[in-house]
Amino acid sequence: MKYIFVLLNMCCFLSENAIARAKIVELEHTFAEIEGSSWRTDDSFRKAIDVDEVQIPWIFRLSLMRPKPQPVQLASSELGAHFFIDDTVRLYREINICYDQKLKLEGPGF
Amino acid sequence: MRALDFSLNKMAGIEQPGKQRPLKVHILKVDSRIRNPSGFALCDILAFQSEEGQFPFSKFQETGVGLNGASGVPELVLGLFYRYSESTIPVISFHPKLDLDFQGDMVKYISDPATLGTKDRVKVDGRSIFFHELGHVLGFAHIHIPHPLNSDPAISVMGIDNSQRNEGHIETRFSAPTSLWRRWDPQQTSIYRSLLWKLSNNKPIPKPTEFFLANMINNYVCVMPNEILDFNFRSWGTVGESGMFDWITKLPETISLRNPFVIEDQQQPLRKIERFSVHPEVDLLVTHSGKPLNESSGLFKADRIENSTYRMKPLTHPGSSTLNAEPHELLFSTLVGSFGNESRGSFILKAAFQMKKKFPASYVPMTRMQVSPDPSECYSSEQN
Repeated sequence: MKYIFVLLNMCCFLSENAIARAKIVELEHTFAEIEGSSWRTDDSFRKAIDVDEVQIPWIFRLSLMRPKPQPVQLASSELGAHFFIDDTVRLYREINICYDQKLKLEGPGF
Repeated sequence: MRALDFSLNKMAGIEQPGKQRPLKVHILKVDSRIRNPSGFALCDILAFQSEEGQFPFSKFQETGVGLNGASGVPELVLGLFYRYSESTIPVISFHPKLDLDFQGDMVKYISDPATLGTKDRVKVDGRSIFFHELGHVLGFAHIHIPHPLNSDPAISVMGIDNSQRNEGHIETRFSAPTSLWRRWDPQQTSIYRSLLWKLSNNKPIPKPTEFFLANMINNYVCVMPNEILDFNFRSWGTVGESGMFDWITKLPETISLRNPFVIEDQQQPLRKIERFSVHPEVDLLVTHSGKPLNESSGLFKADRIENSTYRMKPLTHPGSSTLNAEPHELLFSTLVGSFGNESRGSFILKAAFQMKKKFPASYVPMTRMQVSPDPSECYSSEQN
């Protein structure tokens, strides 16, 4: 079984079309519960924003006009540690980070 | 060093003489209110703070700012990484009720509104959330099983996976002023930068399994000369007069390190390289395999020790005897340093405090590091 798993993961590069999953959402959520608080993602929040396209503001659906990153598929570790989303690394050669003017990024701290 | 430069060093490696970092980053200011797609034509990523009542934060049921749990942390979705499809610009969006601090020193990850006197706003460390989301853009996942150097994933920038709940330390993220954005997982960044440099140098990409199968066996991460490294001392407790285990509540006035706690490795005899002048109670022990040691070459440069005090309320389970217990404090220490210009090869680092002549107070887990100015040399079959 282990060898079958290895063979299935032999391919290093995926074509860009091979990333089957489309929408990716990661949430950073502090929440209060009886033990204290945590930082986590929560599937219920993912479902809450999994709405029809017409309800999603235009700014979340802007067309990407820049070159796409190079995806590289990795296997999960023996211990089951997933270091990358869907075990896929996205290699950029150049990134333009656009930020809204209201964010105070200018300054020596950032 | 600016947070952006520091984080890029972690994710993509640092500039070397004659070799540029194979990832270029440009920061562009835009007006996200103007609905003109051509205005975003140059964007690979878009970051903005959402307006109140708008998607996606309007969809989340929240208990509201100021309704706190045991730790006094308001319940909010602080930020979000959203990629609608492979053909759309990935978005980093911040909660509308946040006061984002991108500039301050030792900013708390999140501040309790009650202590700030703000009723409906929450002050947070904007950099920690921003770089966390940027990590997602590159594919970084929440850490599930952290590298030993990150003794607690809750205090690493990529946070924890929701399937892992380390209740003992989970509140440390919220409880202390700390530069959380500095604390990247060494293994995660090591793999990313290695792939990036291999691609840039037209070297073959290892088989998907090589990173982890080999890495787990050999337990190493790749680091670069002059890369700033944070070694987090894993906090230990002490056994008191009653024989019960107590967490350290404060360090004693004097700490003795006459007998540093190390796991002797007969195959790799330890050699003490440097005794810190910054903090004379701490010894750093380095082993080196392969090439002969040259102690005059500036093998490892210890810069400073950073201490943070985490004031925590005890966990409050119903019926627990600690329900009304007083908050206690934990001390976390981080050794900050870097390998010198000429350092090359495989190293094992260990460091330890020892207190009360009984038990080690804390230690840095034994870690093997492959030091090379060229990350593309990592994870190659000849090194494994």
